[in-house]
Amino acid sequence: MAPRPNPPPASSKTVGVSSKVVDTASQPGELTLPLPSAEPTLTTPSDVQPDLAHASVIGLSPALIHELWLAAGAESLTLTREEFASALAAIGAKHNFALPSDTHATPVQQAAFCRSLRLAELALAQACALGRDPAWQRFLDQYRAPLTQAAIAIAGSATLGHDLADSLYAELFGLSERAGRRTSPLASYSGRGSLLGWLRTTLAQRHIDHHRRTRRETPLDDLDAPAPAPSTGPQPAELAHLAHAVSRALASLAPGDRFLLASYFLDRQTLLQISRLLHVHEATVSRKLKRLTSSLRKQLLRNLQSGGLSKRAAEEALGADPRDLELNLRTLLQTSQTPAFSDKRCHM
Amino acid sequence: MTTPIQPGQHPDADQLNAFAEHALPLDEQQATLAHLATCAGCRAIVYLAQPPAPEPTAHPQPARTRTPLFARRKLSFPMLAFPAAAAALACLILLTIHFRNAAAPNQIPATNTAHIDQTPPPPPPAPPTSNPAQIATPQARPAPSPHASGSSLPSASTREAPPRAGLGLAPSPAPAIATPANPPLEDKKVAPDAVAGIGYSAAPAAAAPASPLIPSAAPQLPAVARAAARELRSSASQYDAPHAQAQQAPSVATGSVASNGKPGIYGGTGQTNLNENYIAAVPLSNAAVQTASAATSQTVTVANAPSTVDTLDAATLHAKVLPQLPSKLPALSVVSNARRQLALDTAGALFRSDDAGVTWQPVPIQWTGRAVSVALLPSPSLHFYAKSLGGLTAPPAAAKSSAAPPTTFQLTTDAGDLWISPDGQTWKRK
Repeated sequence: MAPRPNPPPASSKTVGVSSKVVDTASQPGELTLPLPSAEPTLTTPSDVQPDLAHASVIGLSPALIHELWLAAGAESLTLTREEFASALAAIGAKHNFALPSDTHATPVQQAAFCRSLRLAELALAQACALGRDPAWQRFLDQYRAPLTQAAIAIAGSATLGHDLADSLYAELFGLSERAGRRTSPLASYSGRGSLLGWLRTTLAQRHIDHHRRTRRETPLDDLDAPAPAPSTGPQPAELAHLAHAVSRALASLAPGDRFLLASYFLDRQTLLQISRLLHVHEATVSRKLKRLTSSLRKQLLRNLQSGGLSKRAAEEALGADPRDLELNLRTLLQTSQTPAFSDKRCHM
Repeated sequence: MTTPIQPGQHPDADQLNAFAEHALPLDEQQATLAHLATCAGCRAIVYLAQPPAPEPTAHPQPARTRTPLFARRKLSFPMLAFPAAAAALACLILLTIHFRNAAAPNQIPATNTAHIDQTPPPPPPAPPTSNPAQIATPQARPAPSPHASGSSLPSASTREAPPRAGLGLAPSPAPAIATPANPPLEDKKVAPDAVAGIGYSAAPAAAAPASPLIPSAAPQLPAVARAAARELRSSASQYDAPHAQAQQAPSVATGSVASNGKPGIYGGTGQTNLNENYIAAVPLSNAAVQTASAATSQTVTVANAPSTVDTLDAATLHAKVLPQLPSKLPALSVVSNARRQLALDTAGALFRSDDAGVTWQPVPIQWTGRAVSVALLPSPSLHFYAKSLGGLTAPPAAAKSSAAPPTTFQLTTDAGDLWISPDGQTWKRK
């Protein structure tokens, strides 16, 4: 366990939400913390006043802040009302209080949004991000074991799981520095979902990053790259028509249908996993997939016929060996040019 | 989320977690889903971050239903089901047979096991008979005597041609005169197809095997019979062992010959068509009627009359004697005179038969209480004892006269009351 930092100095409190919002160098939602100093300072009411003023500017009344602060039990975490109000204001501003971007949230909508958050977990995450000992003590009591189990489940190995969990602990504690300030991913927790779910998602991200890195370190001897296929002659016209029809059919799919097809056929997720993610029953996923493939076949036939093939020729074209097609369904389904996991910096 | 996810941007962990937990607004949910549909990396993160599937809740074990033991064993050993069933059926059949035999030993099928000892009788102690013609011999089979004509006398003629109206005592296919040295009474058996005559055997006189004597051809028989009768009568009290009586009886006379020239009760008048219940008679005492429910033989004492004595095996006796009553119950007591037969079953119902037991008609109950026995009124000259399953039969009152067969029946109830009837149909308190 890494040594816990001392509470940040009171002078850094003024950085708060405003600095997080304007700091373009940090990742969205990340809270930049000053480096721990040897002399802890105490928070004074004069320091808190600007945060409360900022919160008031965005519509959060002091009474609502006090109410939410009490409901979150932030006092026991040594999280002040001002710190909590700053976090709430930042989250509300980031997500526009769950309203469309062009809509201005009324105080009622703001209050409703804030009340819909997981205030206790949000206060715990913010307090941990600020390096408060009571918060860390509670965090470890509540989430250490579940986080380790989740890491083992994600990594598929106890050793890798413990390593993954330990690395995340260090990261959460804010050992990484950026521009001379400690940064903790916990500050990006918005409270819309559960803190444990957020931790699991973060673990999954770190595990995939680790997988990307380690896969690139695979020795070349282990790589048995297939020889390039001999260049063949020009594709028959039917195959060209088929490839074009497939591209058009997949492009016309709704995002949900594309997600289903990608999850089931590309990611090889089970119906249960898909159903749990979409919060529907397995049978519903199965029916959707069946209906989706059926409609996709019909759409392919229509596309082929619209391309000049007769119905019989279109049906024969559908019976072509998929290996003869120069189609990358993954590319077709995933139109976005997703960069490598290791190159992604938008997470966190 | 205020701005849609731009290409190349990925939702952060908070947004992915909120999407997985359905905590996002609808527009943001759709935007995230659209990104997930095209981003394999974010999909992988989302699926990896899913908590493990909850294990199926252990359903409580249903209460064990009590199944029949046979059913469980049947499932466990299906190949033993058929043998077990067969064994059970066999045991059931054996038990049924056993109990039926125990309950109705008289239903043992009769066989023609009656045999008459061919050993010539020892010289009778009695003086020579005065009427040698009355001694029947197997070799000489004259025409039946007039007394026996039309009757069911156990004469040789009737034995040869049984009228089937008899009561079950059939002559042996090889009629012979039994000797006192014959096997014991129990070994004597009477042929089932008894003549319509007396069908009667007496032990020890009966033990002394009866032979179908022909009166005209057996002149010495009356004397032998008389001597035997005297011997029997004198030692009636000693005849508890029919065996001994059989040893002592010098000879047995058939009832077709009456003593002193008179027709005997068993055929002298041609009306002594007694039931074969009266076979195997053993004179236990001078009492007219005695009850012995467990008796397996019937005792008849013949006195002062030529009698046809035959022996029957107990089993054959029961099988042949006891009638099949309409009530399907075993006969408790059976009595018969020359013309009519009465039978009392174990339920106390009385039946009457006028055709020697072929058909039975119930007799209306005219007495109070439960009838326990039926008998013929005892005759002073003829002590006729029958002992069959507790039933008592009394010798016909007019037996000694041989002119009028005994016709008065007597019924005893469980209260000890006596009821008499001349015809077995109408009864009066005695």
